[in-house]
Amino acid sequence: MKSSNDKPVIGTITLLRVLWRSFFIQAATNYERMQNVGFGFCMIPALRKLHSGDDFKASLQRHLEFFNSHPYMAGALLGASIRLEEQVARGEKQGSDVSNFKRYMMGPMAAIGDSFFWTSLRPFAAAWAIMGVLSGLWWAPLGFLLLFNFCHLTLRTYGLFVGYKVGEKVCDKIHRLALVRFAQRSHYFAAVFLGATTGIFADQAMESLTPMNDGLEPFFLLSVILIYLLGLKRGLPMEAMLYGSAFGTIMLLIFLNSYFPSF
Amino acid sequence: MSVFSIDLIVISVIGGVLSLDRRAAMQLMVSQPLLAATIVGMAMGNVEQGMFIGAILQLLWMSCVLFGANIPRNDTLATVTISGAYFLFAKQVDPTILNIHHISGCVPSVLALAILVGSPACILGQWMDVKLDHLNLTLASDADKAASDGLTKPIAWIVFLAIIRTFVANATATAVTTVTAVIVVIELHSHLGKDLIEALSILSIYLLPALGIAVSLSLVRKRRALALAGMTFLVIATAIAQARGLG
Repeated sequence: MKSSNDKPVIGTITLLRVLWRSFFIQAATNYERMQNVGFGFCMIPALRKLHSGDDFKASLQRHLEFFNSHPYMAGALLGASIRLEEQVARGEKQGSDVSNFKRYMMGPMAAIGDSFFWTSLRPFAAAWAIMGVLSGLWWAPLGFLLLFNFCHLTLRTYGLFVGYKVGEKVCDKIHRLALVRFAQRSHYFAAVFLGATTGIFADQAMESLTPMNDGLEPFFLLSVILIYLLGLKRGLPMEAMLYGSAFGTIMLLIFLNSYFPSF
Repeated sequence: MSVFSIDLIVISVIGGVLSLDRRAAMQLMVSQPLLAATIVGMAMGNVEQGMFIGAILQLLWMSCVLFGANIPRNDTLATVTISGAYFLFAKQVDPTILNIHHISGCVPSVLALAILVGSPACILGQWMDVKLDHLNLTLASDADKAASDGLTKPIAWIVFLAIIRTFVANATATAVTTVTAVIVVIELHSHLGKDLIEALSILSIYLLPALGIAVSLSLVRKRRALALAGMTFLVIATAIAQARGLG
């Protein structure tokens, strides 16, 4: 592919093929070069349009180098890499420029993706859905999927197309979306949903076959949550607390029923 | 083929397909415990109880996240194992359990036992994920060879092979862990005394939700947000108390 102007030469269909392949970017993840096979696999439709012969082989090998980023944010890096490959094909850039761009950008993109998707959007959407399920909303799990994937699919698609449009400046575009600010605010909503969920659990405990009587359930639940929170803050693993609680409860019940049968 | 075997095959296929969503393909979050247990519940004929099991397990494993090269506990394998063991117990021992179509219709002692027996599956799944990553190293070197020859089809096959491998490994693991869990749950539950059933019920009704909420709250980084959670809880608890005439 040789062209003197800077107009994009990769069509929407090819970009959509790259987008589809990006859903499998982590399929062959390995300890040595992480998502390299997936990234190379995604780039194939675009590289075929841009290079041929030895240039194609070199470009394919270039994209099998180490790569590790957030899977949803990889779309932006794929789009920008295609743009840079165009410039390589025109002789305006070196192949090493594409490799360097990926090397420098995969870390920051992964950080944005981790903070937005994994530690904010997922707990936020899950907390809402759990509250919904316990309140009897049968479609709450579906709502979780729709809420999460609306953001996921939008950002994946936007990243790829904008990345292809602006090339190396893709990070500025992603930064302008203020994902980190949203991530920070979502913690407040998640906390409200979790507070309400605790209340619903207390209500269910009152209706259960083993109520504590006198409306003590909410306070008991709150105290246990605080004890568990303290344990988690001190680094106790969840599994240890799970099995520890089971053992403790069984021992306590056996003791109480043996020595205080009327309890 | 017995109904048990058919159910087990269905659960294994669900486990295999959902495991793909964790990393190998799509990542649409269908593999999250809330969705995974709901799907198992749907397949076993009681979606409401599946949703409730999913809600508890989602809270417990809220902190399982794929950060960078870190491989977390496999909450999908554990969820399918636990919900599979619960529903297979119901079908084998007391099918009337499945007739309770209510969100809190789960039998607390069976649920607690299934969680205690099935939870170690998440460690087995994590170990398996690490092994699969090691196996993928050979696929990566095959991809290098194909690239140096300028061939693209072998790279597509490598991706396909990795997906198939993940599916087969997880479906097999789901079958093994679910069979083991259901046998242990049936055996233990038949020997449980009144004390133990009561203890497991308390665990299921009070302690498991509390532990799940604590795990989820530990992910909330803002102190003010924690205070907000406490305030919301107090408002809801007061409303419940007033509604029940306890205030």
